[in-house]
Amino acid sequence: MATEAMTDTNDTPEPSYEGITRIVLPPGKDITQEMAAAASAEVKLAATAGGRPLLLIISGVHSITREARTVYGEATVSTAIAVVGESPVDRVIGNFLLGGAAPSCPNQFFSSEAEGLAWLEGYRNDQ
Amino acid sequence: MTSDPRLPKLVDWIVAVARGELRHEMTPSSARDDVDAVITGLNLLVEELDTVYQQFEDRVEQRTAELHEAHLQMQKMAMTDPLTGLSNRVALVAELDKALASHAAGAENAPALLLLDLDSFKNVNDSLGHDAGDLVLKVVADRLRNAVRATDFVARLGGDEFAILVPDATLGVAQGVANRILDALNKHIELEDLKIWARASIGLRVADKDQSSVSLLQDADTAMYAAKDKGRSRVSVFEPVMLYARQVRNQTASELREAIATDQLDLHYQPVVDLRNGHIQGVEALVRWNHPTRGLIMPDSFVPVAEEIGAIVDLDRWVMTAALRQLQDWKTRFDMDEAFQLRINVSSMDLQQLDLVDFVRSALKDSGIPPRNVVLEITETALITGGDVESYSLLSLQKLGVCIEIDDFGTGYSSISYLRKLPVNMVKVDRTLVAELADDAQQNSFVAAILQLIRAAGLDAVFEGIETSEQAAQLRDMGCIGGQGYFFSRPLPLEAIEGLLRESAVLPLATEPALGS
Repeated sequence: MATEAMTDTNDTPEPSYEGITRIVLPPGKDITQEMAAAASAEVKLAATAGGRPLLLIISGVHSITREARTVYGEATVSTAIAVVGESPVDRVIGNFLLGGAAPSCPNQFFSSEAEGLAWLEGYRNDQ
Repeated sequence: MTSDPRLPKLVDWIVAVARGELRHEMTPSSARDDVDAVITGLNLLVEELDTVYQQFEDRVEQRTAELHEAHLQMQKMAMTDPLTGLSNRVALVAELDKALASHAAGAENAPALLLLDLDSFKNVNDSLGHDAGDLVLKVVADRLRNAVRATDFVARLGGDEFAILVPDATLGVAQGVANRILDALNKHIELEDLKIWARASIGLRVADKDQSSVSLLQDADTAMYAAKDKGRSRVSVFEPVMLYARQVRNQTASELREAIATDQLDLHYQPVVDLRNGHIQGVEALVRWNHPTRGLIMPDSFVPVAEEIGAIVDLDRWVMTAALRQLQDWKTRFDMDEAFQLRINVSSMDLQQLDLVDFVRSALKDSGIPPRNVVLEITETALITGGDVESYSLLSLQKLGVCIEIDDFGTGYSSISYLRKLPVNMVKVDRTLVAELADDAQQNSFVAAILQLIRAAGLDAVFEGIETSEQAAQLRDMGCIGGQGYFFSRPLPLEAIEGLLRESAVLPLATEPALGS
């Protein structure tokens, strides 16, 4: 599983990830409870200065287990979560993720990272 | 447009899912297109359904187990006495039926039933409270469990009534069990600073062939009442003649209330005598029942019944009213001594009535009798085991100015310290202490010591049960002033006592043959 603080793309205007935690779940993998817990630990680590918005990329993951979904529902340090997946399959999996016991912060599925980022803008911690 | 090859497979899968085969899965392709999205969604739905079904099944299984457990628990509760954990009446009858059926089917020995009722248990509940009563019942239950054999069946029928089924018994075996139980109950029970004896009367009935459980229970109950009548802490084996005695008792119970209401009761009076000169100090009013068909019935035969059916308070009050009215009458007709004392017995149950004091007050007022002429005799046990109401009654009665006397002193708890603590003025020493006087020097000094103790507590003493001139002389020599007993006079009907009062007689009368025989 990869965690990237920033992803640079050369030909598009550089989106600002300032103050946002970006987690990419590994494509082609079944996301288990352990993997979800590891991701959650990273989110917490990044949020030492206080709550931050989270951009969760699930594009290409094979599946998410019910137990992993529970870990997502227990998220506490994010101020808002944008779940991003590009394909129709991602959309199904993403909404499965949101369909469990959802975390208490606002969370929504987006089919592009730019849309997700734009939505998270409103929840960015200005400090 | 070429048809997607995944679609027929997808349809087959959906058909299988519709049939209920939830585990069949398709894997989405790497295209992750719309069809893959349907496959992924269906996988998730199937999984979800499977989980829900599994949870349902688990829950049904768990609930079924809980229901089963609850059912067993209820069955057990329905057969168990919650206080003692013993079997209850329902369970006993079921066991009885089983044992009787086995005997009817040819088992060699018949089952026997012991029915056990604690003696004076009501006193514990009334005077020490129901918590104390419950504690006593639990201890008794434990003792019964330990006293019987493994094959015997112990049940609590309710209140202070227990039963023990001895299956496959002979009379000897059943009596053995009964005696072990009496032994076990012979040890005291410590209740805070009090020692309680929860002794029992036991009725024993070995079943006849083809006898029903109902009839067996009735017979054992009859035998138990016979045991109680004979004096407590006994075993009585059922005999058919007991049925008659029981019938009489039931008859007595049903007629007694009416007897009180319709003045079938009568008072006899036994003089209390000044031992120094034989003058009559006062009389004790003693109730009799003039039964229309059975003739004169003595109190032993109906006072216990009155206690049992809750008529004792009415009985007590009838006696009090009638006796005070009588004394009022005597005062107008005879030259009565100012200090003449009318003694009236008050039961422990009456002492517990909140309105006793008011009743006494208005009875005194109505009769115009000064309170100092009235002595209320209360048994030692009632005085000592009494609670708040009893203390209130005693203190208020004393304030009214009536004398309170401990009756039957020496038969109950006999703690000397109570003599000082209780609000009483007089002590009537029980006849058992007088009975051995004169024969036994040690007994004489014992009685003398008791008299001194009573005096040291600032109380007056009267000795009852004086049957011989020797006893009277002994007591007089010890300095005792008041005495009562057959030596001086039996309880007398109205006419006879009036004869004595009219003549200011000195007792014993010279004409009366030496009594006490």
